[in-house]
Order: sequence, then C-alpha cells, then structure tokens
Amino acid sequence: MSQVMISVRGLKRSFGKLEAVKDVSFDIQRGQVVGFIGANGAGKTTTMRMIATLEIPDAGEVHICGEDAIDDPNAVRSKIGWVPDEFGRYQNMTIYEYLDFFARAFDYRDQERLNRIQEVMDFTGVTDLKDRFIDKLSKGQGQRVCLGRALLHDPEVLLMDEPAAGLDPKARMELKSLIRILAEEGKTIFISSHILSELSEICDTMIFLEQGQVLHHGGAEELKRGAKEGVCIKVKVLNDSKVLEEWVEMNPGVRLLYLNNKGGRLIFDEASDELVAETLKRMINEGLQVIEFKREEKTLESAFVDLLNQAEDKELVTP
Amino acid sequence: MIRDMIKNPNPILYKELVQGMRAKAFIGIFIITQIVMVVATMAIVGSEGGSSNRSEEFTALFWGAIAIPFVIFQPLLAIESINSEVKLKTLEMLYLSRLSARRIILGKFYSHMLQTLMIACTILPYVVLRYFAGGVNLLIECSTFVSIVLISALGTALSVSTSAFSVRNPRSHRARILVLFIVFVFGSTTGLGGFTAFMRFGGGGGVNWMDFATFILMMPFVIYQVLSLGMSQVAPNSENNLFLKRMNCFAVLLIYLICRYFCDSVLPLFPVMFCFLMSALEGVFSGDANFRSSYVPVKKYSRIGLLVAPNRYAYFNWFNFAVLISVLLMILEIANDDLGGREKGMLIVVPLIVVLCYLVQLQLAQKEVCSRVNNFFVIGFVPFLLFLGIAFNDSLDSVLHNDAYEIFTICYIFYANIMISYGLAVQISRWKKEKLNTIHVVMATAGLVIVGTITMILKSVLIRRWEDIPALFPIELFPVMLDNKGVEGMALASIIHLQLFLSLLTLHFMSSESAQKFFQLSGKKKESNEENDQVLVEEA
Repeated sequence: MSQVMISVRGLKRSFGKLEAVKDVSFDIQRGQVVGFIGANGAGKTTTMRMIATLEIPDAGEVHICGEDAIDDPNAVRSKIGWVPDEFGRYQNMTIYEYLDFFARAFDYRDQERLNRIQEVMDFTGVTDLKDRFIDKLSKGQGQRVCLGRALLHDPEVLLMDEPAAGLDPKARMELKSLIRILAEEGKTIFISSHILSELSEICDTMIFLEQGQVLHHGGAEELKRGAKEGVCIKVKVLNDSKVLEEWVEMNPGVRLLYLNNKGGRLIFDEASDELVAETLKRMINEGLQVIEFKREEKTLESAFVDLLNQAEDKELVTP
Repeated sequence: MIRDMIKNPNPILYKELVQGMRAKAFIGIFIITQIVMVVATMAIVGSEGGSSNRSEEFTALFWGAIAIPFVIFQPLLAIESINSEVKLKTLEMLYLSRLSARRIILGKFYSHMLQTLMIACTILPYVVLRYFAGGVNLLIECSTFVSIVLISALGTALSVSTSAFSVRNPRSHRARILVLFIVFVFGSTTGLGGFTAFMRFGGGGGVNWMDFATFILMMPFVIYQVLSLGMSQVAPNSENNLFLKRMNCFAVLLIYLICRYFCDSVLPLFPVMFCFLMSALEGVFSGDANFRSSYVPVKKYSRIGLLVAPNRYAYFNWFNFAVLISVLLMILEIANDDLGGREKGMLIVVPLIVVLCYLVQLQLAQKEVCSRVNNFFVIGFVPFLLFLGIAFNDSLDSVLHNDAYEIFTICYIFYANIMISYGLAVQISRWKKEKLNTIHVVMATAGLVIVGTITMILKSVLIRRWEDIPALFPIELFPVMLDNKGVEGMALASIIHLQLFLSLLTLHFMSSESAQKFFQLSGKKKESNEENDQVLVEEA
C-alpha cells in the first residue's frame, strides 16, 4: 500500500514584496524518486528549505512521514537527510572525524556509532580516503561524503538540492548509481536539479515549478510525449503527400502540423496509444501506402520550455 | 553518567577540540603565555632575592601578565566560533542533526574553556614557584586565579554569543570584533583590577569572602545568561529558550536575595542588573519567533494550553516573573522584624502597583507591536522592585544617597531612553507605513535629543538660572534626579546621550529583521542564487 511521505499543501513564502512560493501543493509516495525542476527564481530552493524545516512558510502545511514540519520540526529532522548544493567543509578534520562528529550528533554511541560510520563509508566508497582532510577533497569526493553524512541516521526521505552541480561526468555517474541503489532500498528521494536529461533517467515523477506554482506533476515520459497537447507522429507515404492531406481533412481528431514531398507530421488531439494504433490501421485500410509511422518524443528540455511557454500564454490571456 | 559524559561528550565539544588543537592560534597563545610567565617569574624571583613578592606592584605585574592571554586573547579566539559555521554554510547541517541550539553554543563554549583551562594548568608551576619564593597569601592568590578564569569564561561566553549574531547579520561581524576587543581590553582588565583591589583592600582591609562567594555562585548563571543570548540567535524557531532564560534570571536574583542577608555590599547587584538588562534588550530586539516559541510546548494541551498562550492570563511572561519577585521580596521583608510603619505601608502599595501594571500590560499586549514594548516595560519594573527591596532593608532617606540608588537610577535612565526611542521609532514606522528600519531609529533618537534640548533651553529661560538646569533631560520625563548640574552636567548628559544612541543603533543592527531590511540580505542572496541557476541551465 502506498504511503504519502511528503505532503505539501498551499505552501506560501514571501521575502518582502517578492512572492517566492505562491501556492505549492503536491504529494510524494514512499520509494519514489521525484525531480524538482524550475527556472531561475521559480522557488525551488525556498520550497525545499521549507520542507527541510530550514524556513518557516507564511502559509500552508508540510508533512513528512505524517509529522508536521512547522509544529514539530525536530520529529521531521530525524526523518530527512539533507544534501545541500554547497558542501560546507570544516578545516583540520578528516573524513572519518567528520562522519564521527555527525554520528555523535545523531546520538549514535559506542560500537553502534563505529559500525554505522563504517557502513556509510563503505556505501559511499570513501573508506580508502578516511584519513584525508575534508577541505582537500575534490567536488565529487566531497559530495559523496556529504551524502554519507545525510545517510548516517538512516533517513526515510532524502532531500537533494542540486546534487550534481559542478561534478565531472564520472562523479555524476557515481552519484546516479548511488541514488538508484537508495531508491531500490525504498528511500523517498526528492531532487532539485537543472540537468534535466539526468533527472529523466532516475526520476519516477517530476514536478515543474514556475513563479512559485506547480505547472506539472507527473512522469517524465508522459511529459515528453506531450500528453497535454496530443501526440506528434511523423508519417512517410509512397503516394503523393496531397493524399495524406486529404486523408487528414476527412478524419477529425487529427491535425496536420506540416507537409512535405514524402509525407508530414500529424498531431493527435488525444494521447492514447490505442488511438495511434487505430489511426495507422485506418490509414492502411483506406489506401495510404505508409512506409514510416514514427512517434516523435520531445526531449525533456523542450517539454520544459513548452510548459513555460504555455504558462506565459495563459498569463497573457488572463486579464 | 560521568563515564558516559566522558565517553560520549557534547559532539560540538568533540569537533571543536579536534579542530582547535590543530589550530595555529591555540599553539600561538600557549607559547606567548609561557614566554610571558617565564619573564614575569624571573623578574619577581630575581629582584631582591624574592622578597619583593610582598610588593603589590610585582603581584599586580604577575597576575596582570596572566590576565592578558586569559581575559583578552582566549575570549577573542571564540569570536569566530559561530561565524565560521555561517561562513562555511555548515550551520544548517548542525540544525538538521539532533543538536539543539543550546548544545551547539554550550559545546563551543566548553571547548574554548577547556583550552583556557589547559593553558591555566601550564601556569600553575609558576604560581607554585612564586609561593616557594615566599610572602604569598595562598588564599588570595587562589581567589585571584579563580576570578581570572571566571572572567575569562564570561568574556568567552560574550564572544560566542556575539559570534552567533552572524547567523542573521553576517555583515557586521568585523564591527562586533572591534567592539569586543575594546570591551575586553578596557573593560575586562579594568574590571579585573577593580575586583582584585576590592578583594585585597575592600571589606575593612581584608578579603570580603562573602562577596567572593556570591560572585562565584552567581557567575555560572550570569555566563549562562550571556550564552542564552547566542542560543536565541542560533535557535531554529522550534526551540524554546525563553523558559530556561527566565528561570536563570530568577536563579541569579534568588542568589542575590539570599546573599543580601549575609553581606551589605551592593556589588552582587551588578550581575543581577546585567542579566535583567540583557534579557530586557533581547526581549525587545529578538524576532517574533522567540516570542511564539513559548507557546509551542503547551499547544497540544488544547484549552488548558490556551491559558498559557501569549497574552493570556497564565502566560509565563516577564510580568508574572515580576509578581514572583515582589512576592518573594515581601516574604523576605515580612520576615524582617525591624520594619517600621512606613515600610509596612509600602508592602500594601507594592501589590497594588503590581496589579495596576498587570492590567496595563494586558491592554498593551493586545497589540502585536506593543507586546515588545510591554515586555520591556515589565522588565524595567523588576529593578524598581529590587530598589524597593533595598529600600526596605535600610531607611529610605539613606538609600536615596547610596550606591544602590545610583545603580538603579542609571539603569532606569538607560531603560527609559531605549524604551522611548524604540516606541517612537515604531510609531514613526507606522506613520510612514513601512517596516521598522534604521532610518526610523535615527529619526526617533534625534527627535528625542532635540525635544530634550529644547526643554532644557525653555526651562533655563523661564527660571533664568543656568546652574539649576538639570543635566539629564530624562529627568523632565522621569522622577529621578542626579546631582550633576551646570556645564559639567551638560557634558555628562551629552556623553550619555551619545552612548545611548550608539547602544541603541548597535542593538538595532544586531536585530534580525532590521538587519535584513537594511542590508537587504535575502534579496541579494536570491540574486546570486539566480545567477548560479542561470549558469547551470545554460550548461544543461
């Protein structure tokens, strides 16, 4: 049975006259990996900080594993692991001492503490580096130590703010594999990032934020297929392309995006797979010599830009 | 329990010791102290074959040399303690662990004190060497040593707390270091000198051990009160530090009241005043969250919890606190058989004043802005009750000219000025329909000075006797009198007003909201975040 791990309702936060977060609501289920995407100043970091109990919202509610983040932040803090975009590095401290310090802060004692530190170092692959000073680590190594610190108290929810920012490709791959393992272990992971292609590979669902409001909450595939505006199909025919044009005019629910010598691009008003299959069948039955029928998927970046454009259009229309 | 504390110390203490023992500053201070001690000891032992130990000058030189690293350098090292966490952006990670603000601040303080004690241990051989050279009063030497360590602890606490102001106002950190340096150099050494002189020559030629005991008893509470100021700055909004702070103030007062029965000196009144003044200022300048937090622990008890919600009758605020004090004073005074009819009459008047003030504060508390002024008003009432308590012990006539009255008067003027300035600033911000900012505070203080000066000039014209012009204009507004008049008094008044203005401005800068407004920190942070976001989007 699914369990809501993060529940956000009507979240609002202003800084002076600037409304950073206007009205954000969403639910995240146990074991989901959710990407949090937004343009500059969309309110991502503010929302994440409110979820992490680091900011108090002006209005709205945040519940983590059923605990109220505003009334009882201490209960929430024991359930979340926070990986900030910038990993603060203490001076004169080795990786082992750093993790030991946080293990003590999380009330681990004696042998239990030593075991937990070892587990976390093994998981993040920093055991061989344990005697190195943390202010001398590379960005990727630092991010692994930071993830290790966030995992020390075995949190149920992991909040990651731009975890892959500034990492080289190898370090990104390592981080991605660690996130995958954590997701398989049943942890709920909420990641904010601008590297959309990477998010689409690891996230189950995505939340798009624009000007402090949620624009889209759903799967990446659904978004890429352009669920809300229909399906785009590239069609090539042996016949004259005018035949295709005539066929489109006879069939409601299908529009012609553009036409060329060998075919064209069609837009379906509905996004169901059944309709696409039925259309292909009809085309062949009605005499069109179809040599190519390919569903065109948007990249996540273009889907994101489309979403932003749609939002802008709505704003222009709304008086 | 002790074994557990040793095996599992405060995590911050563990971290700070790991870092601190590798830091160059600690090693530097350690070496400087050893060099100074060797030179001082050689000078004492070498001159006149050690007999000069009886000389007060050499004793002062010896302890002065010890005091410099303890009272100035070690506390100054602590000024970076919280600020470094802010700079490294590690404070949020501490919040999200199970460390409370109290444990963070106490851990920082303990680690610095442990380092101080380590250095203290290394100077003990020199103290012993001096003892064997002869002519040393061991008790006085020990008391001086303990005093230095305690004053060092107070300085360290002040540094740690001041450093915590960086959480909400990182830009004024350098200014705070400068202010603290001046305080440590001029304040602590003078205070230490005064204290040791009192220990040696006060109390009728010998050591006043009762005062010393009071000092020792009070010091931990005073230090905690100073540290609690830092805790409020660091505290995430869920933490309730108010209750502990109030109980701590109450403990200091209780010690004072008990000690009053055993000694006549007014010196212990200073720490009490210090605690109350600090809490009063914090009450006015701290963020709203610090007020709201008192209610959080009782919220779950529904209707009963509501009774103790802010501005409700059972809310444990400063006024209830003042009521407790007055009741305590009355019990003490009723137990005193020497009371005359006039003093017993006052025992009836005091509860009436208390009830009247309670009603006034309840009315004021209905408005959000007034609740702070109200808090201040109530806290200002506590020294008044203290003053009454002192008055009951002695005859009222003699009290009007003794030290306690002077202390009370100065505190009262200080309170009154800040309260009026703050009230005016709030009013100006309301007229302008803006949130309170520095401009409003400057306008309010300037307005107060102008009004006071005009009042003085008008009065001088009316009475045509310049020498009778009261030096401090608040006496036009408050029923307190000082003896300073004429040109000397006016100079004093100018200095006091300048001090008040600067104090108010500094405190205002330290407050969270105004600092954010003034420097527009949040806006600038956001801009820089946006720039970073832009770069990342372009990369993507």
